[in-house]
Amino acid sequence: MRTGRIVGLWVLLGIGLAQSTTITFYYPVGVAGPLARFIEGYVQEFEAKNPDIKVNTVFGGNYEENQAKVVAAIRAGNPPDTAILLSQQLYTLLAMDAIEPFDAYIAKDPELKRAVNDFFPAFMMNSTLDGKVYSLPFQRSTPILYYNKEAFQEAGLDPERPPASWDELVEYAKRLTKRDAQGRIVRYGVAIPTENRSTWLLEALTIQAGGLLYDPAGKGCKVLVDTEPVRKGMQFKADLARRYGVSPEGLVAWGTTPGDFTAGKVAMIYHSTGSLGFVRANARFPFGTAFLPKQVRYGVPTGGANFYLFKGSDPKKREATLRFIKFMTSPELQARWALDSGYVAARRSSWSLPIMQKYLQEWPQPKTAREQLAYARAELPVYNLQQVKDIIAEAEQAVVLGRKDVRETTREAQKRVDEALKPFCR
Amino acid sequence: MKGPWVFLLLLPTLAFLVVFTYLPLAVAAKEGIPALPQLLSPENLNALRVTALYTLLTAPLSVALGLLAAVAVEGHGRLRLLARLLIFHPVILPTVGFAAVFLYLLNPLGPLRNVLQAAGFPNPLGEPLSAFLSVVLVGVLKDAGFYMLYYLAGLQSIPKELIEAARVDGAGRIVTFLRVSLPLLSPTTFFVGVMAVLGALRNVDHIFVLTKGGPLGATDHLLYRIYILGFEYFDFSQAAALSLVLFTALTLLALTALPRLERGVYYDA
Amino acid sequence: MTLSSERPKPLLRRIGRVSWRGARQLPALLFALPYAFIVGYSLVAAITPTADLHRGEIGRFTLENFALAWSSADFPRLYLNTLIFTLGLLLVQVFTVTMAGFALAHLKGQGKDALFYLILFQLFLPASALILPNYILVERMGLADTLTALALPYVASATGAFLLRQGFLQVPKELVEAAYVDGATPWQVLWRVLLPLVRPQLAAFALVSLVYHWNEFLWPLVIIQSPEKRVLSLGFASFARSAESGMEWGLIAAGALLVALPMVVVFLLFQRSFMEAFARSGLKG
Repeated sequence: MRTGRIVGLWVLLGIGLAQSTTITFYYPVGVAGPLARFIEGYVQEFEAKNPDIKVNTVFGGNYEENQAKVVAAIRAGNPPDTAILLSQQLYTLLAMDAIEPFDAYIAKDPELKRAVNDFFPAFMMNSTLDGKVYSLPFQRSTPILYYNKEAFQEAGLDPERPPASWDELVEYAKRLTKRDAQGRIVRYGVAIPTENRSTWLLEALTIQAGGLLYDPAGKGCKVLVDTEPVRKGMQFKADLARRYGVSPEGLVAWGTTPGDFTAGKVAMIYHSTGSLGFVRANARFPFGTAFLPKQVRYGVPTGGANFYLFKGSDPKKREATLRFIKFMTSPELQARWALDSGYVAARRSSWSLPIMQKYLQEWPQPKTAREQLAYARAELPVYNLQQVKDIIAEAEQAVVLGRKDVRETTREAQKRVDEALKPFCR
Repeated sequence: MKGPWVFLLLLPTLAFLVVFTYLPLAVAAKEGIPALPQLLSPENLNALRVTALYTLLTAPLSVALGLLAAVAVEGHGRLRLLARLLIFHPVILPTVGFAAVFLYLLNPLGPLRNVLQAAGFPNPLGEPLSAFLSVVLVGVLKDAGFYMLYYLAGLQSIPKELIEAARVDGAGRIVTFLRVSLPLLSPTTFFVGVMAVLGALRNVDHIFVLTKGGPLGATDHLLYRIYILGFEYFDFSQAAALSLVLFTALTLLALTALPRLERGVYYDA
Repeated sequence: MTLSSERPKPLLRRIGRVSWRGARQLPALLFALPYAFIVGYSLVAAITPTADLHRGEIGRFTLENFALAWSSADFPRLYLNTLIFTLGLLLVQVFTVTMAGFALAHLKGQGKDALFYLILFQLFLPASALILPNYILVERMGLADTLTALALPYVASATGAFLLRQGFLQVPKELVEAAYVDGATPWQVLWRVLLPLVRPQLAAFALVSLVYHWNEFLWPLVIIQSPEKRVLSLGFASFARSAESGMEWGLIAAGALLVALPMVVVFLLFQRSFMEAFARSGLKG
């Protein structure tokens, strides 16, 4: 009888080991460079530790392309088991009825429960709806201020005192803007990119002006464009070039700004903390990082992408998927990923790990983003996300380019956004 | 005997055409027709306008550039081959890569900063008009190399006697070119012209890198907008409807061009 | 008696001749100057340390960008996949366009124009606009994530059919008739007699097809999922399209060169035939 049970156990073990589960995992590359290789590396590490699981990685391109691929797969009836998608995408995915909440699994799994409680609350803001958790943070960031300490000294400013308010920013920028003998500007004081299809930095300015780009009670259906804080934010950006002459004219591009900063062509920039690696590698001058200056208050939106759970998985795959997600969001991996990529380690316990401590001793700048989390808000969470972002971004462009009056622009944009949300919010 | 053979030979091509070109068309029509009223929205009308302007500029300019390049590099010699390779290189590069070079060059704080300022375009990609022109520029440069090859072939096939005869009659180089070569090149020009219009209507990769449809919709090409509507807004009906507009334009082009293409062939006895 | 001053030394004459030939080619190079400028920037960016580029300095030479680009993506595999895809597709296309071109050249009877238009209409329907329905189709066939699926929408090529038709129209009737008289079957006539005669057209088509598919990005992005099936354009994209950080110009330039290099070779091989094809095909009035 006993031998029977032992044999039975071995048979089961054999069957279990022999059958490996394959899961599909889509991921974007949001930060330049060979980051895809890191992700592939982590996956291989996971597979080595879990020989009964095989992870099919699908590189989806950048955030928009990856999103498109995931949706195409879902529509073709072939959803992935998990994917890294923008934390903002919650409502879009819910509208497609494509995702499942983590709660049922959190209740049964103490490790998962620990993880959820260990993430920085700011990073969980985009994940929760009606008390349910729909995504777990993986590659997260906030915008921060980078400033050229050498330029500060040159202009007679204290390199350890970055500007703390919008007014100070303008003041500093005026002193930092340098011209040559012919009067041409060789260095601009500040550059705040107007990214073509994103509202991230506008959101930051809006929060600093005391407002919010959306109504939290609106559950993804109410966007607040026609408000004073938004107008202040847009006007502030426009004034930098047109009124104070401290920023380049026209739209400042996102992708070229860190390079311009490291080349010394602009003394202060607003950019993602994810660019820290880039700046560190390329700047030949001492630089500092700081909170984005406040107007009424400090504030930034969070950014980046999370792990989602997709419907249409079977229990074995789901179990494998959860193991994978737990691995990727573990404190150790979050710390390593932060060091490799420049994203903010999303787990609080990551920051006390030895590798993190050692790194911070040499490079304290990552702490800025983490400390700024205290003032962070969720990133615009709405249905029909990309179209809403495009409408608002275009409005911002019109103001920055001086084409339209800011009141008229925000009023029109509000109407268009409400139109765009109508099919989703009855 | 010819009859059945002909159809047999055409069968594979026809089969794949039906499945991968015409069937998807039908799907697009089915999806798109309900959304036709939405075509009159300001954004869609803007896309139509942008596409028309873009085509009107890019097609003739790239053809002209191809022709000029062919005239400049005609003949033998290693240096000429090098020139040909240089002019053709945008065709060889992945469009994303070629456009990325311009992203770098057209940066208002970049290496060409002083040149751009002097030219009155301090931030080419950051203002609507100059962004549109930049996209046209990249589009023209990308394909002109191919048209150069077509024109080189055309130039080669002009009988030398005709050129010599004109010269003997006292005509200068330019007059000879305008009066003798150019008219003889007209079938090539027609063919290249059609290719150029097609290219302007379907090559939008550089917009993904350079301007993403902006600023203020100045580079919101129809095909780019179709991609965004379908793959980022997931509004398949509207994307399909816009596709139908594109297909209509293309069909009109086809109807004008195909008969000429069929007839405009001269073959040796 | 000739005075030595009347006769230029042979060596000088040769130099003179060579430099005159070179000088006559100058207009070509002048025309190509803007292009040279653009290529120059890419080359310089590829061999300059990225850190220098971002500080706006050039002058130092390094191969680290190539090394980094090479290690950022599995280039050997990318090359292999792209070669399999483009060459495999081309091979199939040679068959389909030759057959179609021949058929179109010899079409007789009522359906003639209709068939011609039906096939050539595809010239005007870009696969890029049909991405979503084509993807769903391919998925239902169970062929998603295969190099085969990449090729399927392109097997029927109207461009090729048109080109080859031009070529076949050139062939003198007598040649074909002589072959029949010699007892050849139509199939043999096609592949043994006619095919060699349309080599320039095939070469032209090969150039068009190879270059287009080598650099094609959107369709592979939608279709290919597994990393081991990726083609060059996808590999290149992973470090050329960043969303959050700054652009790594050196890396991008080096990557672009790694992707484009084989096509340079293809161009050099095929450009003569390409032009021959069009010269002879009589795009004349």
